[in-house]
Amino acid sequence: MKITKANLWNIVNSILIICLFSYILVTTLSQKEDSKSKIVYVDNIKLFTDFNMTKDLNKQNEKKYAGKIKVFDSLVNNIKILEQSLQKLKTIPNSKKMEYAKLQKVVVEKDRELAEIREFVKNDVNKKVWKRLNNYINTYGKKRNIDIILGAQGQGNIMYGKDYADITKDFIKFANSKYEGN
Amino acid sequence: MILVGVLFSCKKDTPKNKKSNHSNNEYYDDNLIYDDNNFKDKTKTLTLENGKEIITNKKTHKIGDIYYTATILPIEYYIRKNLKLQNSDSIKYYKNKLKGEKVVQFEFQQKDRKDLLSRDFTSTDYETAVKYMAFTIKNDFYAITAKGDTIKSKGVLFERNFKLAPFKRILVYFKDDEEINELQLIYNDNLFENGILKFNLKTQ
Repeated sequence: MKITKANLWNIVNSILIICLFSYILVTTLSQKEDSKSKIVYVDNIKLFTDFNMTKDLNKQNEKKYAGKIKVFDSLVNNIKILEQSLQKLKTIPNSKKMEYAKLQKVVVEKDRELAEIREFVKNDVNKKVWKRLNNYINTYGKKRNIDIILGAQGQGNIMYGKDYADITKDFIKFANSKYEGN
Repeated sequence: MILVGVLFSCKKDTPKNKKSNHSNNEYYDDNLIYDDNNFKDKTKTLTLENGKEIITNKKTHKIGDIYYTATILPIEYYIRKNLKLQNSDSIKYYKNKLKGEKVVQFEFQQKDRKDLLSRDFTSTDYETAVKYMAFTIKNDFYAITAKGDTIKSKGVLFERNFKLAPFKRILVYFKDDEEINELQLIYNDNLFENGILKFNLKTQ
């Protein structure tokens, strides 16, 4: 078959039109994908537990209050031993009863004290960690030009989100790197 | 002409411009953080009088409204600038004496350049806050060397500027058996209660 000049132009035109349509299609799709990634979410619970600062602060507090926990554990142990020895007796003397009541009072007091410490530590860690994470979230959002970062807390505020919008893993990596001084 | 005039009047007031504009009683420092735009980590080249260049990095964390900045001061720079020694024999003597010693310059600065030791930012009174900066803060610093060894701070020096500068500066001293050129500085902030802060610092 002989290719005429008119045919050649038709072929060139067709190729150009195909190229143009492909370009428009690719650009539109990539823009769509880009606009999708502007609203993302993080799993707050996973973020909090996997953030190195939470781990460091928990370790620090464990060390700080280890002495008090040890004292409480030994008191509980003492009261258990006393209970066992009293169970073996047919009649419990008044002095032993008094001793038991006194020890029980101390254990209750120490237990209350520890509960207060636990509550204080929990609030303190929460406050410090979220203050830091909010800073890093701001930096992360600005750097990646994200419109909205939502926080999924497992309480129903985000019922469903596609995997590509879940930045939890990437953000934890970013936050830990920042926290570690990089 | 009008266009040129308009262009000049619209010239952005960058920190460099501020330098020439600052009044006599206003403190100016190249290291000062003016706003969020110049808050970034920097690699600084310190040039000594003998022409020798030392590269060190400055690391800044912003937590809430407070900037925390840490820089390793190379020992020769520290001897010349802080101990005000220029004689080569004295420098040699002190360099030998301070072998294995590392000085970290640590600064606190409030975003709006307010006095950070006031009650607005701490849970203590001014005097206790000053005492913390001068003494107790020492216990809140430690460093991890490139080898992974933990070293505690040997001491601190609080450079009091009596509110002339909008930042609080302290020098933190560390000592190790070997020369330290790289360390991770860890500060446990018990004054502004911002938790643990880490800075990866290097000097060449």
